[in-house]
Formats: sequence, C-alpha cells, structure tokens
Amino acid sequence: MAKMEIENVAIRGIATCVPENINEVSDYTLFSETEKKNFIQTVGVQRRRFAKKGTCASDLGVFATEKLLDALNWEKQSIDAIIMVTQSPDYPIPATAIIMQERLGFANTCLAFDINLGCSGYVIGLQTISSLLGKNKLKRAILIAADVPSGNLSFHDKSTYPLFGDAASATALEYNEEADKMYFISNSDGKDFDALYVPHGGMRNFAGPESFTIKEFEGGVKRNMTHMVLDGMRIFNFSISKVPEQIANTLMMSNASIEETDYFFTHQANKIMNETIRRKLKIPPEKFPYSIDEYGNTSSASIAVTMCHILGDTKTKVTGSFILSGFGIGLSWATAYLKLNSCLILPVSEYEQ
Amino acid sequence: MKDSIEHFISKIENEFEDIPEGSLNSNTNFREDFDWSSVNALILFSLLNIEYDVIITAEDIKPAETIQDLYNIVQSKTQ
Repeated sequence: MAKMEIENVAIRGIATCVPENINEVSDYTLFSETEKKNFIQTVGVQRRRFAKKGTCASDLGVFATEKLLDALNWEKQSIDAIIMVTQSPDYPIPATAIIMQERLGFANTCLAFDINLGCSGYVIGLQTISSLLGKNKLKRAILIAADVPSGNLSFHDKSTYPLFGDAASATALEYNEEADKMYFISNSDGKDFDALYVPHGGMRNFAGPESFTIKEFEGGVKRNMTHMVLDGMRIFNFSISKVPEQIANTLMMSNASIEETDYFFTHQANKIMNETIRRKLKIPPEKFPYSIDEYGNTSSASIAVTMCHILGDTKTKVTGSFILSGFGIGLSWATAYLKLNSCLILPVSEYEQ
Repeated sequence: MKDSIEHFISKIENEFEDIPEGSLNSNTNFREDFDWSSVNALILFSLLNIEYDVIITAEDIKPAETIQDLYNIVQSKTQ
C-alpha cells in the first residue's frame, strides 16, 4: 500500500508561471451564449492561458525555477536532484529533466528524471522527491510540475478545449532535521486508462498519417488521434467516489482534522466535481480555494498554481497545515498532509520569452 | 432511501437555480422539460452522490425519462 510518512524534509519555496496569452471562455465561438454561462458557472473556468506554438512545458518550468532559486538565494550547484513531472515532454526521449539540468546550469552530479503523471503528479512528485532526501541521502532538490495541454487539444471538442490551461510550477525541497513529518497516500487504477488519454503517438499506436485525420464523434466533436480524449462522466464518478475517502484517510493517518487544516489545495479538475468532494467531506468553502476560474485545469501544475494564486507573496513566508490532493489521468489519485514552516510562496508570474 | 418522492423532487428543485419551486412532479420528463445537457447531468449526479451516496453512470440513466425513473434508480442503488 502506497502509504508513507516522510521525515526531515522541508519545502522551502514554490513558484509558478503561466504564459502571457489569455484565452477567454466567453470568446469560444463553438459555445452558444447559454453554454458559455453554464460552463463558466458550473465547470468554473472563465479564462485560461495558452502557450505560443513552440513554447514547451520545460520553457515555463525553467522560468519558474530561475525565479524561485533567485528568491531563495540558492546556488545552482547546490541542487542534487531535479524531477520533471509532465505529460508534455520536449521529445518522446530522452527525459526532459535532463535537458533542464543543463539549461538551468545544475551540476552533472545531479540526479534527473521525468515522471509521466498529470492531475495527481504534483503530490506523487513531492512523495518521490522527498524520499530521496535525508541524512545519508540527497540534500537539496527541485520538483518541477509543468504541462502545456493546449498542444493536444482539439478546438472542436467542447469537453476539453475550454477546460485546460498551460502552467508550470517549481518547488524547492531541502533536508532539514526540524521539519515536520509529511504524510502521503497514493492509489492507481489502470482499468480506466482510456477515460482520459491521447490515443496515438506512443508505441501502442505509432503516429502515422492516419493519426492526423480529423474524425467526427457524438455531439459534433471533431478531433484526430493525437488530441486528448476525455470521458468526463467516468472521471467525475471516479473522483467523487475515491477522493473524499482518500482525503479522510490521510487526515486520519496524520492525526489531523478538517478544523486544524488551514487549506485544502486540490487539483483544479472542474468546479462541480471539486465542490462535490468538498461538500461530501463538509469542508468550509473558505478552506477550499480555487484557481480554475483564472487559469483553468492546469494539469500537474494545478495544486501549486492554486497555492501561489491564494497565498503568493514575495515578502511574507507561509506557515500552516495543508492537505494537497490530486486526482485524474491514469487513473491515479494521491493526497498529502503537510505542515509548511516559513515557506516562500511566490505569486503566479507571467512567462517572458 | 430515506426520502419520499416529494422530498426527492424538492431537493432537485433547490439545486438548480433556474427550476422554480413546485414546478416538477414525478411524471416530469427531465430530458424534454429540462435543459438536459452534460453540465446539468453533472449537477444532478453530484447532488445524488452528496445526498444519497450513490454513483449514477451514463448507462444507468439511459433508459430513464421521468423524475420517477430517476427516483427508482436511486432507490435500487440504496437498497
């Protein structure tokens, strides 16, 4: 069972960035006026950011990391590991984290690899990278969770095009004997892998000319086989049945309560889905913040983007108790309970080329 | 299920902003008399999950037409 307690690791800082280009849901020409109103109200997205063609998750990730290292005053040569959580790699191979190691000027002694996860990726990324730090282990590490889902969206798919947005996050972690324990629970279920996936481009269905033929599906949806396919109802039912239980179990495991937890930062999937989770757990709305209205569903970056959107401040550092919970593509779901002590959380910044 | 059909209907009326109180009955056809869309389906499924702890799938709801049919589905799942 992927249940873990991790000691002696402190999160020192979090930075996030989004592309400059704002895409308003009210400008989406495939929606009627009623559909726009319903989508904004129920799904919760008002606008999101789309990267310019050619801008990769790694470009946003490098930008966020540079900002964070500057603010923390960390030497680049002091970083022992870099993990990139992404489903928008620069190339199918090699791992994007290794390319970023060089771009960021990190030492060759640095461990670097990618994790192919989306919605749950921030939490599982934290779980993985924290496990590498310790007394006789690594001392400093950078976790990047970044995605450019806009590259895989069909304009003619109302279930995905207005929902997703591009963003990157960088998180700095350090071995520290005074740090509070962190608690993690993760789950996986590959049975419904095709509830959210890109059919072509891997080895199962190698990309060929037929991958780019536009086909028409139910409800006027048009897409090719390299576009993202989302079965919203299956993801919805999965999330509302699995996530509240996992959050409750994580609170129990850490001997914490909803009252003592300052904020529940969840993956920004879709407002109605997240609100169902919140209402089932009876979490007060003020402890359950959103960033989906401004940035959409930002995949693996969504939890950090929400933290920076709500708590971001260049001067005052953040102390408090938090639940972080990510759920979706895989299917995969993961929750962490952690206490931050004087953590620098920067406001969401705009990527400059 | 703990709720009567009247109770069930009033919960649905409360959840949707644009459905006036007292406008639904057990014979209301929710697909025709209702602005039935995937967004409204999610609102309804969310309500049924919070209130009755049931998961309704797209398959479950296919044969259903009236509010009574919906009530029966929820009832069969809570037994």
